Amino acid sequence: MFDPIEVLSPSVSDIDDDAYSLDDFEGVDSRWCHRCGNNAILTAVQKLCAEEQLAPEKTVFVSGIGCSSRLPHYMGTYGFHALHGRALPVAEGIKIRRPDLHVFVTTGDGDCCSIGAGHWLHAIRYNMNMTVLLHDNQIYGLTKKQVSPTSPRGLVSNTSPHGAHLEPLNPLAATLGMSNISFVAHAVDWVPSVLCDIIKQAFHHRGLAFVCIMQRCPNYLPDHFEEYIKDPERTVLLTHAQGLQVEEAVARRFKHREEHDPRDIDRARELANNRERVPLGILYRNPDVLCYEDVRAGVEHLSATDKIAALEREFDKFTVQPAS
Amino acid sequence: MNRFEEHGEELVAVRQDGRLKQLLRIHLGPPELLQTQETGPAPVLTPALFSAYRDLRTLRYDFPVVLLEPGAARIAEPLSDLIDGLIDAHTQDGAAGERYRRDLYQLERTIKEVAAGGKAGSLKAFWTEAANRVYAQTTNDGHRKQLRANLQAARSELTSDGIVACCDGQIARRFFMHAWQCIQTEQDLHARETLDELIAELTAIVDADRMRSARATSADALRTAMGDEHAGGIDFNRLSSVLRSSKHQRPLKSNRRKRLHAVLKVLETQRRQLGAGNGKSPRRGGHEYRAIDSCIEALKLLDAEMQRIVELFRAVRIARLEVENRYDEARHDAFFAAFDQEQLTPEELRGLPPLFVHIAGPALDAENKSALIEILSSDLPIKIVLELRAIPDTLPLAAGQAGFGGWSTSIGSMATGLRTAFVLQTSASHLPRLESEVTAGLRYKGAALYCVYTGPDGELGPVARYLRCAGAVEGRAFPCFIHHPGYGSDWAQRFKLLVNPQSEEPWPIHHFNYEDSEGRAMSEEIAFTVVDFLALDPRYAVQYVPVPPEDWHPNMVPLGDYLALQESETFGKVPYLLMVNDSNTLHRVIVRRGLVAAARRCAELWRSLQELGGIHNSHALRLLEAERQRAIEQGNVGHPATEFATEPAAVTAAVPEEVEPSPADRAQVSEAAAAPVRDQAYIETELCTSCNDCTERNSMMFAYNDEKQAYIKDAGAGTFRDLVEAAENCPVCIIHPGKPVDPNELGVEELMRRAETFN
Repeated sequence: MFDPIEVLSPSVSDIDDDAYSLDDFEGVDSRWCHRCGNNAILTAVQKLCAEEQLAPEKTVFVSGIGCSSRLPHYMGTYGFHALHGRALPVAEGIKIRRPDLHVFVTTGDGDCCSIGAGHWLHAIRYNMNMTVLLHDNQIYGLTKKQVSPTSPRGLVSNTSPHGAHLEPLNPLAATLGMSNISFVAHAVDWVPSVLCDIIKQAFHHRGLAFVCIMQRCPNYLPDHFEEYIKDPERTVLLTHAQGLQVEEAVARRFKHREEHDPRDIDRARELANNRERVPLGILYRNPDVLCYEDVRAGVEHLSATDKIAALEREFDKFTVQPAS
Repeated sequence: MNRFEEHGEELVAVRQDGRLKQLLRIHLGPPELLQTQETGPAPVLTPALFSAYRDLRTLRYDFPVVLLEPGAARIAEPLSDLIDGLIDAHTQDGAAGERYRRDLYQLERTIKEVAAGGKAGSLKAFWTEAANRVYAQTTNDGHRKQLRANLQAARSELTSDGIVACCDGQIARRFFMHAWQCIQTEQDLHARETLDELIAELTAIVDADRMRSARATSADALRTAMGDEHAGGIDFNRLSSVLRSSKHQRPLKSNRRKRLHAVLKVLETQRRQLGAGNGKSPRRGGHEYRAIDSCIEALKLLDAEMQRIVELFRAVRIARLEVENRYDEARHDAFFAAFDQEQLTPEELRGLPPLFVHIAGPALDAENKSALIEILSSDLPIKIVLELRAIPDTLPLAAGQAGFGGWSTSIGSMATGLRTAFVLQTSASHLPRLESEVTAGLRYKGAALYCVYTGPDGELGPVARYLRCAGAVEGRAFPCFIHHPGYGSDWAQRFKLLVNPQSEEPWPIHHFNYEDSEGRAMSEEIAFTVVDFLALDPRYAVQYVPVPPEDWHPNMVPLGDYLALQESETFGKVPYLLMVNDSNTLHRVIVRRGLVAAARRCAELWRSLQELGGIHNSHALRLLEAERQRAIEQGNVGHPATEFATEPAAVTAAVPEEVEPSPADRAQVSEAAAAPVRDQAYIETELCTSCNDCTERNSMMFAYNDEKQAYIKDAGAGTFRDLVEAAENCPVCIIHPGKPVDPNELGVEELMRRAETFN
């Protein structure tokens, strides 16, 4: 007897498969501190995976080193916990070899903007199709409170007992100043619906989507973002027909809103440098920017024999032949 | 009302005017015996608007066209565009740049001459021959040297080669065959890649299984694999036993192994049929690229091909499930046992190699017409090029039979009514400009019909085939349009009028400059109508009667103006066409009544196409008028509707849209009603950041919903203190403790005071 659905539907194998739920994307239990903003980001990406029904075996989260970079462990997908600052080149390698995978990068302000800054700059320029989440808590948390490139001037830490000497690096402004950018957004972990919406739009963007997320560190900088959390006037919500379509509850909270066309890069740069109000939304989006993988075709699919032959060729380059 | 009552005074005037009576007799008189041959002696006179285009060799237009090799960015490019591209890319300015431009134009003219000789050849071959001719014609050594340098530099910039094709009797067949082969080459490449990938992945599974077999893990096999140089250092018996004891050594189940081998066999067989993809043996599914000349034959061939494609996609589906390790025998065996063409998805059907049918010349027989309708009503990937030699097929000119239609002029618009078929109607002259539309039809998953007017066979007289074909479009005899079901679901998206000149007008209007008998420069605005186009057709030569200047009469009206009159307004008027002879002397030619009736019918057909294409759409105009009346009746004089133009475009622009308020706007409206104070504890769940603080504080009281956002699961599962402390620690302050369930809880007064901040 045939199941009528099987007979009628050409996509029977898809129909009968169970849908993925949020639980399918849970990895090991999170070891982040209670109240840590990373939890919000973790939930947002898990929600995205469930909503988009991403096959866990076709999804990979790549990270460097830091609190934020523990995220791949907490996902029920593939993960790559790479070297400090090297999340982006690893992700690029994965993407060019396996363009069929959904590639996400989670990186922190130290991992991305300090030791990994060179890779950051070139990854933006390469514009490979992936979603990059910068967890910016403005402190080194994993190593117990050292100043990071985005720490505000004057911040007292274990490495800056008299206060940080330099003005902080602005990841948004820096990214918007690079060439070949295609998607730049700013989110905060304490407005989860907007965070989810931005990550979703970043995922659907073809090219490198760079999402900078202000993320609370309740342990080492407990009140650091209070001014923004407690006072919604310090946030400007960016809306647009092609940008965010915010929920009513969120719109109610943020009275200061601006209709911002994500194609307007000049305004995007102004918003990124606005110290009075934190922009929340999509600052820039240009889907027409060239992706590196489109001009550099991936390696052809190799059989096992061909792979061995290719490896042999590489090894032979370094073979020291004994003198006959 | 009889004619005297209707046109009393005019009738008297006509009866009194002998010269006018004679002209009217010519116009209204009984039609003479018509010629029935499609070809015959060329008419002596040609429409005046053609006079500027007698020598196409001196003009730059869309022919010859270069049919570019597969893999190029486009399938075809006019030679003139190609030359312009080379000139644009050249960086030298000033005299050197000008010299470069002139040299290339000279070369272009010479390539045209070479191509017009009827010889087939590639652009690079023609380039060489033309360059040699140009060098030979250049006597100055310095110029020749510079010319050679310029032409060689330009040639090195040519990125691709292709066949040079003129607008001759073969152009439609060549153009479509070429486009079809380009698309097929591209699709074959995709099919080869897909199959190669699947074969490699399945082979990897089979190989891995073989490597786990007892034979592969035997000590002898391992020794052979490792080579002699390790013979002394490795105990292969121990290695073999270690490998065999591994928990990952489970072999594939017998059923699965058989299934994998069967699927691999199918994929490899079909892969071989696709060839190496080196372009030397363009094959698809074992069939050479060739055109079929019968719709019936196409249906039969496709039926056979369908069996092959069902087998292929059955194997592809199983292979994908196997690669992902999702094949479940309990679920999938029965399904794949009954797998047939009904199970194919639209995407897979696109993998069915389209068949290419080319039919030229006389109309189809009844059986083929029936097969054609069957194809166009289906989703079958059969692409039909219907090459039309004569427009219209026949033209009934006898009294009471006036019309303009028939098979050739109607099949395109009739096919659009079937809704499922892609239809492109065009003249051969416009093919280069409609390159993307041509390829869209070839890529379309279902049936496609191309109706192409190419002009009659044989010699065509003084007007070149290109002009004759262009004239069919210009005179609305054969308008260009596309109907593409893939563009959307409504007519506005699916149907478009293409490249028809002045498509807003009934007929295109052109300036015509000439000298009168006294040498004075004169200028007129002349409509180019279907009657101009038919003037090139010997079948209708007797319908055009020249009138010597001494017989001209004030009641003679240019045909375009005559056709703009209502029939009742034409009484006593004689329509004429301006035509020229070989020496460009201008003549007035009376057009007989039958042709005028045909022109009116042709205009009606054009009008209906305009409506389909959204031009002067009667529904839109009616709505517009109703809206205008309503606005006036309501006294809303300032309302935009009262200022509507009669153009449909204005309808869209002026009708105010009901705009859905954005969530942000809604929020502004409802701000006053936000956040009610409640006695019970609650959480603004949608703002929860999933930080785990409250859930770890009391997991019975706080829990996550399906979205992993916190809510109060049971306010009684803990103390009021738990609620207040959770609220105080919530980083985004979204927990509202309300009032205590137990008013006697220890320290409740202080807790209530602390809770006030969050309620």
